[in-house]
Amino acid sequence: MNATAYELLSAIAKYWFIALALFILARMVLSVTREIRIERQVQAEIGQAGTGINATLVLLSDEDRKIKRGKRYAVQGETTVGRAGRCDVTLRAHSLERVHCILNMERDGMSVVPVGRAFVVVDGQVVQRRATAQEGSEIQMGGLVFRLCLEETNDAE
Amino acid sequence: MTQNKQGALKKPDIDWILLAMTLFEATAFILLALYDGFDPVSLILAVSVPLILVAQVLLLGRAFPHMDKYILIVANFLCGVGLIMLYRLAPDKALKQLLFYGVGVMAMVCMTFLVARFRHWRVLRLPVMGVSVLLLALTLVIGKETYGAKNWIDLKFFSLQPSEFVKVALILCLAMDLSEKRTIGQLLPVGLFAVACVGLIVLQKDLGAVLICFIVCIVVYFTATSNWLLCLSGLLAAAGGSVVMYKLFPHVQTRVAIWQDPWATPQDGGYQIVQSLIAIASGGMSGLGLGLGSASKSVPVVESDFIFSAVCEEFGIIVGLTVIALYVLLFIRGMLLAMRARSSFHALLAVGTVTSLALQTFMILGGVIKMVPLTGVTLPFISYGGSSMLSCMLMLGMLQGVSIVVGEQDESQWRMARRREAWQP
Repeated sequence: MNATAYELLSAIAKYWFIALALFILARMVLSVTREIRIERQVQAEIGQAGTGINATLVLLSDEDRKIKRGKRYAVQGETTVGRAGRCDVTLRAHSLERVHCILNMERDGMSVVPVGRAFVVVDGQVVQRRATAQEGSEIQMGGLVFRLCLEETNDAE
Repeated sequence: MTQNKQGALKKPDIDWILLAMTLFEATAFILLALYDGFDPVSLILAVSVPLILVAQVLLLGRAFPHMDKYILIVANFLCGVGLIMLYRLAPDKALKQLLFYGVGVMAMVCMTFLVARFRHWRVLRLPVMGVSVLLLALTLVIGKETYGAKNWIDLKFFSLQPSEFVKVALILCLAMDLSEKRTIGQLLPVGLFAVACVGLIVLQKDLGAVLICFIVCIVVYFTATSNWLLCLSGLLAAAGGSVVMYKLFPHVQTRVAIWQDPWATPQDGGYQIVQSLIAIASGGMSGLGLGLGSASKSVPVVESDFIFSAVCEEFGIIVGLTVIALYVLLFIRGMLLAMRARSSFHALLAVGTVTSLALQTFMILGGVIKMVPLTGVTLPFISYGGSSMLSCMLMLGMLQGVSIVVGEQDESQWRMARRREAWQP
C-alpha cells in the first residue's frame, strides 16, 4: 500500500479507535457502578440478617492428648474441619482425615456431613451421610470429642 | 449471588466491553500490518493479543468465578494498548514484550492461586525478605548504570530490575506482619526489612522506586494501625530526606531544574520533556492516526517511560484520557476490594498494591505532561520492560486473589443470611 493511501486509512481509523475507546469507557463505568450497587445490596442483606446464631465447638477430649481440653472453635457459615491447612478449622490430629467433615448452620441446628469415609459420631450414632447436631450435642470426629454450644445473638452487624 | 428478593438481578455482563476491546486491538494491528508494505507478523499479533485477553476471561472466569473480571480486562486492555504502541515504535521490542506479557499472565495466575488458596504465608516471610535484600545488595555490586541510577542487573539475555520485584515483596511482607502483629518488638523484622529496602534503593539512586516503596510503607502502616503521629512524622522525615537528596545528588537537581523550565534547555536537558509536550500537542484531541506520528524519532526512551506521549500523539488526547480513566477505574475497584475484605491481611494486600500502582501511574503520567518532576518509573502494564510487566502482573494477581477470597466469603455469608431470613416469620 502506498503512503498516501495509508495516511488516508489511518486518518479514518483514528475516529474508529476513539469511538471504541469511548464505548469501552462508558460501558465500563456503567457496569462497574452497577456491580458496586449489587455488592452494596449483598452487604446490606448480610447485615440485616445479623450474625444470628453463634456456634462454637468445645473440645472435650483428645485421644492423642495433643490439643488442650476446652479449646473453642467457631463455626461460621460453611466450615470445613480436618488435618489440612486449607480447612477452616485445622486440627493436627492423626485420627482425622485431611478434610474430615463439613459443618453448616441450618434451620434446625448444625448439619454435620462427613467427607468420604471419615469417622464421625453425633450423640452416639455413627454418621453415614448427614446428621444434625443440637445445643449440647456430643460430636466425635476421629479421636476428638467436641460439645456444640449455640448462642443467640441479636446484633445486626 | 445472581438473584435477590425481587427476582433475577443478574450481574452485569462484560461481553460488549470485551468485544470492543478485541476489535480495538485487532484493527490496530491490522492497520499496522499495512504500514510500510505488508507485514504478516502484525497479523499474527492481531489474532494472538485479543486471544490472550478472551482466553483469560473465559478460562480464569470459569476456574475462579469470584475473580474480578473488570480489573482483569482493564489491565489486559492496557497491556494490549502498550503492545500496539510498541509494535508501532519498535517492532522487535514489541515481540519481546509479548513474551513478557505471556510470562506475566502465568505469574498472575500463580499469584492469584497463592493468595486465594495458600494459607501458610508465614513460611515464605523470611525467604522473601532475604532474597529481596540480597538482590538489592547484588545490584549495588554488579549493577549497571542507566540515566544516573544504578538499578539494573545485566543477565546476558535480558536485564533485571530488582527494585520492581522488591516492591511486590515489600507489600507482601508488610501485609503479612502488620495484619498479625502489633508490638514494636514484633514489628522489628519487617521494619528493618522496609528500612533496608528503601536504604538500598536510595544507594542505587533510583529515586522513583524509593518514593513508591516509602509511600507504600507509610500507607500500609497507617491502614493497619491508624497511627497518625508516626505516619505524619514519617512523611515529615521523607520531606526532609528529599531535601537532603536534592542537595546530595546532582541528577536530582537537574531533573527539578528541567521540570521548572524545560524550554530553557530545549536541545539539552529539557529535550525529552519538550519533545514529549510537542508530540502530545501535535496529536491534538483526535490524534494524528496510528503510524503517522513522529514521537518514535523525536522522543528519547519513548517505548518505556514516555510511551504515553506516543499514545497521545497517534491516538489523540481523548484516547489518552480514556486510558487514564481506565487506570482510575482499576484503582477504585481495588480499593473497594480492600474495604470489603474481612481479613486484615487481604485488606492490607489490596491497599498496598493499589497504592503502589496508582502512585507509579501518577508519577510517570505527571512527569510526561510536566506536572511533577520526571522520575524514571514505567507506566504500569503499558510501558516496555520485562521486570515492570512481571511485577505489575504479580500485583494484579494479588488483587485477583483478594477478590476471590472476598467473593467467596460474601457468597457464603449471603447464602446464610438468605437461609436465616427464610426461617424467620
